[in-house]
Amino acid sequence: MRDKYLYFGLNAAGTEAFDNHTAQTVQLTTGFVNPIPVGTDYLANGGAKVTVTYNANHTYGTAYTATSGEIDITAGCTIHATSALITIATAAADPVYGWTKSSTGSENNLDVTQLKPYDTGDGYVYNSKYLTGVSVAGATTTALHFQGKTGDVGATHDLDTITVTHGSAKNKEFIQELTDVIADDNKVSGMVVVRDDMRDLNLSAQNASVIASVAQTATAS
Amino acid sequence: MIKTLYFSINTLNDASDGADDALLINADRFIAMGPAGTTQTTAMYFLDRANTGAAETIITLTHDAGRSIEVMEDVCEAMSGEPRDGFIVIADPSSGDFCSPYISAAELTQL
Repeated sequence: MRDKYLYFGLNAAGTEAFDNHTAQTVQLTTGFVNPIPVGTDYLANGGAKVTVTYNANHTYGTAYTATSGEIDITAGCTIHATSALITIATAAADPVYGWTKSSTGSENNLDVTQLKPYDTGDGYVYNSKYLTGVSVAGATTTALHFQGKTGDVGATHDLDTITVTHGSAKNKEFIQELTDVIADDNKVSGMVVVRDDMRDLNLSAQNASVIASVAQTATAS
Repeated sequence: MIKTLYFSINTLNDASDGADDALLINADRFIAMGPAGTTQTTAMYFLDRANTGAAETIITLTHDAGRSIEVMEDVCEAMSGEPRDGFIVIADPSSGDFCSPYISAAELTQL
């Protein structure tokens, strides 16, 4: 049986709200994610999205046709290489993807939402080879025990425990879904998402175990 | 099949003129991988290559901003491969050979 690579997305998406906003820029802080994101390609590479609650007093580029709800204006945004200052092009500067705020601050409500992991602990891939055991932790939780990523082994060794929350009394269903993946050398290759809290993805489309979330604890020897 | 993972470390020129300029490690020793605290780094954790029992070998990959999830997918895909010689290049900046188009460098931490 070949090794399988199991991904657990541990942290929920970081978000930061900018309500009643009077500027055409938004400054992300550590309240979004600590540390703040860096790299001018971060937004273009799908790291986060910028949305604004529609208001008739905004001016939108031609790419935006909705007249209600949350409008994703990420395509009109750029981010500073190091300071995480996001600048939104005005509709005059970018007639397609730009957006111009209302002159009334209370009409400008923006949100920035993380789409991909980058902070330490946002998520881990584990080698199924080092899955040392699975145990029922409660009616709605099952614990997966892995060799600790610290590499400490011996008489005592570090342990990483992934706790999956699922439907009540669905422990066995979850374990079987997991072992089906680990044992399948024909259809399974590459990285397998067991649960990703950030992107709300689950192991299988059927999701018979009703996986809801995942968490991790690391125990040092 | 014994699969091995190859990295050249922090060098854009000669990967064989200094200690730890490059590393080949048995893929069996790969434990875990995850984002490493910036938008541009992902860490791979291995059982210690010296088998000391209380240490770790970490390779930190540098990549395009916000591409950690794609890098992890590409690394897993590469490790799932079965090349005839078992030799899998994860990151070799000295020759411009990478398992992912987003990776640009690799750094070794030996604890």
